[in-house]
Amino acid sequence: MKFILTLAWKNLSRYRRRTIITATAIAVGIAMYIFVDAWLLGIEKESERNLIYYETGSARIMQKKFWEEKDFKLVKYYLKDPAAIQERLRGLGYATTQRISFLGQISKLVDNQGSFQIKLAAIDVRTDTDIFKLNQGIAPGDGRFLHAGEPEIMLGSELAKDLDVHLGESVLVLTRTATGAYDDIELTVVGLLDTPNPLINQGAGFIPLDYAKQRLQMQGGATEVVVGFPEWDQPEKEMKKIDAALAGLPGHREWVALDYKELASEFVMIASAKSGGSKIILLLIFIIAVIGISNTMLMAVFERVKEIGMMRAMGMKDSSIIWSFFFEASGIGFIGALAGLILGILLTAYMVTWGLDMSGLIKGMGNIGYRTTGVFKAWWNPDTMISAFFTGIIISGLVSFFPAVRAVKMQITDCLRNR
Amino acid sequence: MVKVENVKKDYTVGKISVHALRGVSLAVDKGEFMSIAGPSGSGKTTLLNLIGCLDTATSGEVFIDNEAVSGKNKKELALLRREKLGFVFQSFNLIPVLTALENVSFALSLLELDNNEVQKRSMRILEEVGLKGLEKRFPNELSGGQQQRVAIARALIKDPGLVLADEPTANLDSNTGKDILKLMEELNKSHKTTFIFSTHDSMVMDFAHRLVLLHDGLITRNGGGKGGGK
Repeated sequence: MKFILTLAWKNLSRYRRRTIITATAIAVGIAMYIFVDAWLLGIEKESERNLIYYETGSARIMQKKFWEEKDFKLVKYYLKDPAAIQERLRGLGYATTQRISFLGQISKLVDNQGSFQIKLAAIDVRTDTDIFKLNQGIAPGDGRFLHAGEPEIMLGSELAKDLDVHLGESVLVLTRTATGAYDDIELTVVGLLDTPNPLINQGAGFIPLDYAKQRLQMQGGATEVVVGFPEWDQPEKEMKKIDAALAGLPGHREWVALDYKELASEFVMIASAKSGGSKIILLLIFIIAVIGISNTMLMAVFERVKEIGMMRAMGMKDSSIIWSFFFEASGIGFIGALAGLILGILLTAYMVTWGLDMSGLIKGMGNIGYRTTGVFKAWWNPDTMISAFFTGIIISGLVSFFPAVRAVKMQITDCLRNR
Repeated sequence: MVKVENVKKDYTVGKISVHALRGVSLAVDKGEFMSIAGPSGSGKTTLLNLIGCLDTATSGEVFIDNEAVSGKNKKELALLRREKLGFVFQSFNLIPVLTALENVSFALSLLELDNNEVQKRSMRILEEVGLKGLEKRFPNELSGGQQQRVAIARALIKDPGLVLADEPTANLDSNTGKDILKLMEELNKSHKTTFIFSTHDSMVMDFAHRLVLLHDGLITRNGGGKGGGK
C-alpha cells in the first residue's frame, strides 16, 4: 500500500502541469457550485424574510370565509373581536397587530390620468412595527409613517410613479365597505415606500386602521390578526400553540390560523420550482468538473498503458494498479476541492457582506416572483461546502476506476506492445 | 527449470489466423545463459511471453519448476511472476516518475518486505550493476545503457530463478549492448540465475552459452553458442 501511495504522489507531483490544470477545473467547478448555491439560498432566504416583514407577518388569524375568497378580500368577513384574540396570544408572548386587507380602485384626485386596482391594508399605527418593517421603507425625503386617525395613505414608490402622485397630493380610493356599499375615500399621500419587497413598491397602499374601521363600517372589527414570531422557528410548531390558544375563544370554529408558508403558497411553490431549476444548474456545473477530471484520468491511464503492462508483468496485482490511479485522481480531486472550497468561501464571504446590486435589472423586469430587490446577498450554507468538498474528492477518485479497469483488462502483451 | 512441450500459439489478426508457434518443445536448466534467436516474426517474443506467463498457449504446456502454468488463474500467474520471474524489456520500461533506486525497490515492495531490507538490497544491486552514485537519478537523467542496467537490477533484485530479456540490447549502441550482455553474463554466474534472452543480432547470439534458433514458429536449431548445444 505504501508503494501505491508513493507512486500516486510521485505521479501527482511529477506531472505538475496536468495536476494544476485539472485541479483548477475542479476548483472552479466547486467554487462556482458553492457560490451559486449560497447566492440562490441567499435570495431565497432574503425573499422569505421580505415576505414575512412586508406582506404576511409570521401568521394570521382570519375568518375562514375571508380566506376562502382571499382573491376578493371581502371585508364583510371580518373578525368581530380581534382584541380578544390579541390578548390571548400576547399572553403566550407573541407580538400581534390588527389589519384590514381590502382591494380598491385608486386614482389621482386632481388631473386623473387613470386608475389601478391595488391591494390596500389598514394598519394599526402603534403595533404594526412590532411585526412589519414598513417604517424602514421610507427613505429620507419620501415622507413619513402614518398618523393614527388621519385620512392619509402610504403608497409603494413605483405605484406612486405610475399614478403620477407626489407627497401631499390626494388620491381617491373606491372600495366596498363591510355592508357591501361602495365608498370613495379621499386620502393624502404622506409616505412613499421603497422596500426590499418589490410587490409592496409596485402595488400596495397603507392607511391607518382606526380611520379605515370607521370608513369601512367594521364596527371595531378587523379582517386579520397578524402574529409575529421568530422567522427561523419552525412555523408548524408555533401554529400548534396558536391553534391551542385560540380553541377556548368564542367563534374560533369560524376562524383559520395560517403561517406565512400557507399564506403565500404561490410564492413557496415558485421558490421550490426555482430551487429545482437551480439544482439543475448546479448539477451542470458539477458535470463539467467531472468531465474535466474524467478526461485527464483517461489520458493519464492510456498514456501509461505500457507502464501498467510492465507492472503487471512484474506481478503487481490488478487491484493495486487500480488503487494507484484512484489515489492519484483523488489527490488531484483533493487539491482542486480544497482550492475550490477556499475560493468558494471567499466569493461567498464577499456576497454575504456586500452582495451584488441588481436593482437596475430587477426594476426593468417587473414581478420576478422573488420578494427581493436591489442588492442580492448570499447565505452561508456549510452543508453544501462540506458535501461539495468531499464529493469533489470522491468523484475524482471514482472516475479513475473506469479507464484503469479497462487498462488492466487488456492482455499484458498488448499493454507492453502499446506505443 | 523451464520445460516447453509441443507449444502452439495462434493469433487472429482481423480475419487472418497467424500461427506464431507451431509446436515448440524446449528444456532449460537452472543457471543457463540462453538466447532465442531468429528473424522478425519467427516467434521469439511469443515464446518468451509464454515462458514468462504473460500469455497462454493455444495448445501444449509450459512448466516452470515442474509446475504446469496452463491451469493457473490470473492471480496465481501474477504470484508466480512476482516470486520466480524477472523481466528485462527492449525499451527498459522504467517508471519515469521514480528514481533509479525507487524503480529497483518497486520489484521488492511487491513482496511486501521490510522497508530497511528493501533499501539495503536495492542499494546493493545498483552497486552491483555499476550504478553507485546514480541512485537518485530519474530515468530521463540516465543514458540508455544506464537505464537498462536499472532494468536488470530491477529484474534481479528479488533473486528470481529465471530472468527473461526481450531484445535487451536492441535500443542500445553496439558497445553499450556488449557491456549490458557482459553484465548479464556476470550476474548469471554470480547469482546462478537462468537468463533467456531473445535477439536477432548475431553479436548478441555470440554471447549466449546456448543458442536456440526459431524460424516460422519452429525450432530449427537447438545448440551451439559458447556453451554448446543440448
